[in-house]
Amino acid sequence: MGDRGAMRVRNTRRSERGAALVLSLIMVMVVGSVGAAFLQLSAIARKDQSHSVDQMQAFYAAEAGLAEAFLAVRMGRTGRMGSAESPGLYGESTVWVDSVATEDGRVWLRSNARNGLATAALGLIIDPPDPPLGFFADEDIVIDSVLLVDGFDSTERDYVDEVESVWDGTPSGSSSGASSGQSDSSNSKKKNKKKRKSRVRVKRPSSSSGALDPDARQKLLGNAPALSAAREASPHFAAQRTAARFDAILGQGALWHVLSRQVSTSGSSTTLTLSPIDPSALLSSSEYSSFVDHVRSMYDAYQANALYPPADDGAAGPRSSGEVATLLDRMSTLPENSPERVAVHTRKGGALGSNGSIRFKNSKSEPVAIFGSVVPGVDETVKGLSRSTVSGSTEPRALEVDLERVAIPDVALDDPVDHDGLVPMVISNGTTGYWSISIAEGSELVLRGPAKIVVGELSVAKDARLMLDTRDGEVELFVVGDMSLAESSIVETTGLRPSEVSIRAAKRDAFAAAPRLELDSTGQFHGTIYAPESEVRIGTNFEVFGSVAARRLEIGAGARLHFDDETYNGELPVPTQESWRILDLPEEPEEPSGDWMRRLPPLTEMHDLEHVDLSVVYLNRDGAARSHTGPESGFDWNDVGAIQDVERQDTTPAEEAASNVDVHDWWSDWWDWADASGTSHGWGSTWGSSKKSKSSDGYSKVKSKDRKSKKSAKKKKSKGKK
Amino acid sequence: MLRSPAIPHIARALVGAAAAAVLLLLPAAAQARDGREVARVSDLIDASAREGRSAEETGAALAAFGPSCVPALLDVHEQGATEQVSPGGLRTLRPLEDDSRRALEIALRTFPWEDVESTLRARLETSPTTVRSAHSMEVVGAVCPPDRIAALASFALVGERGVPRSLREPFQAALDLALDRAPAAHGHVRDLYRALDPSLLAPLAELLGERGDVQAVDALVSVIGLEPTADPIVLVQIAEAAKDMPRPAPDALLDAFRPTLDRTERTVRQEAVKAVGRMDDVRAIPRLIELLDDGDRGTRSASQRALERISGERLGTRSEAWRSWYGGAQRWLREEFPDLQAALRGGTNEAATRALLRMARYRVFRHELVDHVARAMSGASEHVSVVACAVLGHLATPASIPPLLKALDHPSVEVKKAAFEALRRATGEDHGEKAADWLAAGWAAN
Repeated sequence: MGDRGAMRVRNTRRSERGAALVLSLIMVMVVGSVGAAFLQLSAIARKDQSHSVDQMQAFYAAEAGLAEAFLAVRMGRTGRMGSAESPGLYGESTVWVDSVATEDGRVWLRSNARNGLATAALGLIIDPPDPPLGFFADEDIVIDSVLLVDGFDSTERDYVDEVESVWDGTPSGSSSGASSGQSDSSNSKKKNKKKRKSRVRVKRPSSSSGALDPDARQKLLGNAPALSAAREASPHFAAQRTAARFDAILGQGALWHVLSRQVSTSGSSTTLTLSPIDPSALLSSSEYSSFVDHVRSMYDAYQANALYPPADDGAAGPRSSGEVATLLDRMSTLPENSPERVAVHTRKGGALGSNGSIRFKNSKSEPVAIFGSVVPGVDETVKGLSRSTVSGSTEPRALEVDLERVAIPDVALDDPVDHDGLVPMVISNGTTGYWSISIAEGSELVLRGPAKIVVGELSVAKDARLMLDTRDGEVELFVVGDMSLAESSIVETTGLRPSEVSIRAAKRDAFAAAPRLELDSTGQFHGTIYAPESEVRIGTNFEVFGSVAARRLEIGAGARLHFDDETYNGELPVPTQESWRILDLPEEPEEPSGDWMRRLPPLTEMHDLEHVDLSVVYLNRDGAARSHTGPESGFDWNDVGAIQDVERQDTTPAEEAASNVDVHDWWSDWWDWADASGTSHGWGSTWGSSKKSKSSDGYSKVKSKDRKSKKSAKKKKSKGKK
Repeated sequence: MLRSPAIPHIARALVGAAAAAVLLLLPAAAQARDGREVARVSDLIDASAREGRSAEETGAALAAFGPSCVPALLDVHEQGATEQVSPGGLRTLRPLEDDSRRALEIALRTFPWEDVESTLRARLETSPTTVRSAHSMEVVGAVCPPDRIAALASFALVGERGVPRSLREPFQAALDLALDRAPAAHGHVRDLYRALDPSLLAPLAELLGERGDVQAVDALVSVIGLEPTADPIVLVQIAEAAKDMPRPAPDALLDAFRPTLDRTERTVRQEAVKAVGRMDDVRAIPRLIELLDDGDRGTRSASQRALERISGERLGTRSEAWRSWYGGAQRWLREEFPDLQAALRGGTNEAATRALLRMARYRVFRHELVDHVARAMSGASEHVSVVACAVLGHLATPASIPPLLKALDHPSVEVKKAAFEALRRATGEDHGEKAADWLAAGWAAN
């Protein structure tokens, strides 16, 4: 019995043998399956994660491309960078940017980036800044008398300081604009030589001292090698000899200064002022006695033009801001045809422009000094430059300027203001309108900013004063009727920035006559005047620090116009960003090979366009006028301070151009969105790899140079204030 | 005796000729005497300049010539140069140096003002030119006693259209000189304003506005209402001067100015609103809140900006919101502030900290609070000092600066850091962590 029991137990155990193994196997299989599933999931997750990282990197790379292209547009370039076939490298991503210029002046940028299999595309519509116009007229400009046009940047330093830097000889960022024609990049120099010779007249500005005519600048007689017989026969011969002796003792130009500024006569009596140059301190007592004895005869010789100004009387020039300011104040007291009116100036930044021709009628006899560029209209010329000083370019503009209409604020007009009182009247801040404002003789009106004032007619009588007080904010004056600032009236601004004061003129309605602006006041006006429909007359003593744009510009004899761009010499103007958008992604590309990528140039080097001929007129970072014509790849954009005119010509070979894609395809989604959001657009001309670029328009926004075909030519828009 | 009928005629003719000769010669003699006096004055000034004598010494020497030399002193002063005539007849003018000019003025001040004034008046009557008028005003500014500043008005030539524009700047220069020389003259500006031709009211207001100190603004406030048509320009100048005026403005000035907020003229009210905002006039808040509902848009927006500036709050354009806030702030000042003061004086660190943070919420009372906060720093724990520094930086008044500069020398590094951060916040500048550097940059310690 005991054995049988034992046998049964053994049989039972034998029957269960292997079950554990099966269970174990099952368990192993289950665990293995789960593990495999986890591994699979992990791999998928990792792949997803990697894709996300790639996606982010592509996004950031596209942003980098957009930023680089934005900067390029800001500099005046197209913004196009590389292409899908030859992109640039940014980190591990490849990037290219397409660019389209619309006929309304905007630039549409699309930045594409690939990172691995991830892609990103961003779009940006920007409105590039307009080139500064300076003093501009839509019609021909005729200059028939003394005129000074120069420039400065009030964000950097005010006009007095800029002039002082010229007198001091401290580098003001520009040696002089005179070398504009000679210092272009070597690549383009030869190519441009012929064209430049025929069109650009560049003359070194005369010395900053009082006498402008270099031919008349001779040394005093004592420094001349011999006296001519004619001079010996002169009744002033003895005085000339004495003058030569004293000039040698007193030093460079001192005698000239003393005779011209420190001696006065009344009948037979002569008065010598011992300041600022004191001959009694510079001469020994015997020499001074002799000097006193001969002062009158030397003065008579000076008055008879028998003495000549020293070669460099800069030593007697102003040395401090105070002296410069005093001299500037003196300018308005000089006769309108006095050459001295152009004697105090900066050396750069002026801009005189037109859509027509610019003619200097009497520049042989009446000095005209323009320290900057004179830019006539398309295919127009600058005439009569015989002895004028123009430091910058005189090349015609490539694009006709279309002055936009002024938008007059919609405001009810109050009763006329006729101020005739000895106590100033104040028009306080806010938006107001008046049928007319008239300031009687001897009265004063203060327009206190921030204010927008619409006025029917504005008249300021002689000896009346119009004060534009911008201490609390800007003053914007909209004139819909005539504006008349009588001679010897005074217009003043409290601020020195032109952006603080603007005067805009426009017709009241379509049937009204265009307002006429007669600015004959005395004073320094810091502001902008924009009157695209009007005839503007700038009087002799209405010294403008800012800019003026008008249909017709009449400039009085002896006018002094100082262009203050507030931007030209400092930071480049920033284009306006109108919209930014993430665009639909293109189809997933194949992952590019590492070798191919390693051969790609960096993104920042992708601006150079091999197949684009560039013609550009610009101010360099020192404010000097420059130009370049030739392949864009050979142009150094880093030297650009402000673009004045730019024109591009596509030289892409036909077969290559044919392979380019139609940008309309990739913009189509944005196009729809832009339509929906009311963004205006047009496809009249294009930049970049567009089939449309093969059209006769090429790369240029406006290629037509025929003013008569104005309607068909696409106009460059211009912002209101310049 | 033979009596010829012609004798009386001859005698009369002789007498007449003699009288004519005297009449003709007298001015010439006077001129010659004046010429000699001018030469004497010129010689003395030139000699003093050569010898390097001070203005006071030269002035005393000139004064010794006596009152008879007043015309000569005025001549040289007006000419702006000493004069020498060479034997050959050449007249040389040596421009006056500043010391020489001052010496002349010192000499003129030694004589009774009435004498100088009458001489000036006689000269101007003889030759009523703008140059002489400008010079007369200059002398008044440089010489007259503070209470006679109104004399400036009588030396400004008045034409058909008021005082010529060319005289307005000399008038301003003369007044400026007088106010610099004798601050007490500010108290007599009102008299001058009354006596002035209307065309000089604006130049006077402009000058005082440019001076921009409390005395000048006080003088401007004192003339409000004297000539209502000139009030807009006076208010513009007050609003401009208030930008740079030290704050808090004296209560007396604020009390005198506040009623201007009730004026009905649009320009006057707008400028008054701007001015009270710039002067941190807390007591004007209720009126400013009322003006938020004014009919004029410019006044409404100016009131909002003024309220925001005074309070440091941004409560928008609704007057109800401002009213509610101001009521709460007043309640806090009345009910809670005394307890907080007590906590600062003798409370625990925790209570003091809480009190400081509570005070920081009422920036509108910053000028009152800053002293309490500054006092809390003395002898306080490191933690309380750190919080006090932060609160002073937040209150950002001129009175915040001295205690913060002092805290830069605190032994605790934490307090120093807090003081530095607070100074940066209050001033918007960074002159490092050394008090000396801040002092060198013009931030006064007291």
